[in-house]
Amino acid sequence: MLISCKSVGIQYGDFRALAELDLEVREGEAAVLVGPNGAGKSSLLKVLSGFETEAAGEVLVMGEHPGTAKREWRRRIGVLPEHLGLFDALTVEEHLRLSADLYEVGGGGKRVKELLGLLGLEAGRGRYAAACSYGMRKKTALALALLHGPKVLILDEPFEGLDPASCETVLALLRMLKQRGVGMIVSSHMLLHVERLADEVVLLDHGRVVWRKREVKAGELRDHYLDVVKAQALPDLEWF
Amino acid sequence: MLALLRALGVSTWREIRTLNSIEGNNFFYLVLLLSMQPEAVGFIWMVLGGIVLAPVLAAPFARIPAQRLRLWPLSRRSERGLRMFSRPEMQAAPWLWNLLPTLELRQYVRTLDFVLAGLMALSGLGYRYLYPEPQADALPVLALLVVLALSTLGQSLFALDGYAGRARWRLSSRGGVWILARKSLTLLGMGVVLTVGVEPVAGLAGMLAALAVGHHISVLGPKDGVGWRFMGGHFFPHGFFQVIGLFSCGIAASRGEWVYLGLAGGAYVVSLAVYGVLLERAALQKL
Repeated sequence: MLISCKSVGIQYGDFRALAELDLEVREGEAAVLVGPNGAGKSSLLKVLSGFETEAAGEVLVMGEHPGTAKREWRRRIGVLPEHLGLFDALTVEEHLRLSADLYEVGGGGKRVKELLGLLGLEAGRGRYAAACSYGMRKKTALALALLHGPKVLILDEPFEGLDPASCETVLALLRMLKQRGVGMIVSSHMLLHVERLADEVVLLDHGRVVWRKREVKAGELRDHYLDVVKAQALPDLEWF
Repeated sequence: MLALLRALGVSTWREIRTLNSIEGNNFFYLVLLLSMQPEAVGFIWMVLGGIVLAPVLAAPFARIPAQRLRLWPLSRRSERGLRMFSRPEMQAAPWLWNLLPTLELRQYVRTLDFVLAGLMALSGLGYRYLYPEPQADALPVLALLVVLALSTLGQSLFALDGYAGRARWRLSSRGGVWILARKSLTLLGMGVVLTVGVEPVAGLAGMLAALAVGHHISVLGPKDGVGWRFMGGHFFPHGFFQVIGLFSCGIAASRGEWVYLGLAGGAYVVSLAVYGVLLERAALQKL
């Protein structure tokens, strides 16, 4: 088992971000969290990445609790954080080189070149992160998550902000990694991509699991999603 | 345009009122000291006023996102005027940045602490090489003023990474000592380079002492910092101990009392090891 959550809950003061969540991810599996903004998806990913340590319940990633895991553990997980974790003062390529150094990746230069090519970042490799488009920043952060070849991926909205072709590339890449035994937990609003990636879909709302299913068929998720999470009734809007 | 200027005015006033850009900077120990001499007051406050107020006044413009500026229905003249003041750090030649090899160098160079240290170093060099009869006793003091200007940065080693950047350190599989050493040795190197032409022994001993103390707050109580500002540290007690440490070790070492250089070096190594381990064990979660 790569990821195991039992009765996980997070409370921020009076606000319950997550309650009684159970989840398991095995080798070569992808669990995808969907749900409206503020449903608790990112909160759970923060717990699994070790950013949030105040969660109740039992959490194990690669057999260790993320809050107390040794630093070797970090080499086995790849994280795409909510805020991307980029430095404004570094270029795209410098980010990858820094990360290769941080994770002590052998043959870092070759690996960096490979990922720049794979994610279509070559043209902007010398651009500062602060000057990049959101999509480029997202792809840079994704490359950082993949660079050291982790066994577990924790990805917060990997498709959002990417153009359709890049979305397809990322989806194909994640499916390929699944076949190689990488386990992943992903949050996303891109329901069509979710259906093609997920082995299990977990729909969260107000911090609770309101629907979950393994092997979701094409087109099934959207209907279930909108059944459970109602779109807000549109009031009449005055227009000038 | 009027609404925009009003919003910027409110923002500037709030910033000046809170003295956000100068609070806790160790250099103000010197300002307080010199303020006791009436003839020095005017000059010191004029220099610091210029350095502090310029970025504070430009800061609201710098906060306007470039895209937002294009979207607002402003006249071309207003837009051009605002654009001139926005994002001053971007206007600083990017090719110059490319020459700086590491993240830390690029971050530290974009602080007013570094600008002030550079000015102090230039003054020291001028005094040593251009003044007809420079006094040998003055050189260590001049070198230590450079160190003093950099010392608050020594309390703020993670300040310029921001929340997103600090997340990257948390995810790293490198040890805490490695991460802290990366940050700390860069600043030590900058201090040594800036003081080598003035009085290198005092500069080295002072930097070692300032960093040995600064590691504590850098790791256990980091504050956020912004480019082109003074770093805000902990004026007391950490800043106070830094100032005492850097001046006593620096002056003593420059007089040939090598034990003080050894003392500062030893304290630096121990501090790096201890706070590196603390960084890894617990503090990375709080960064």
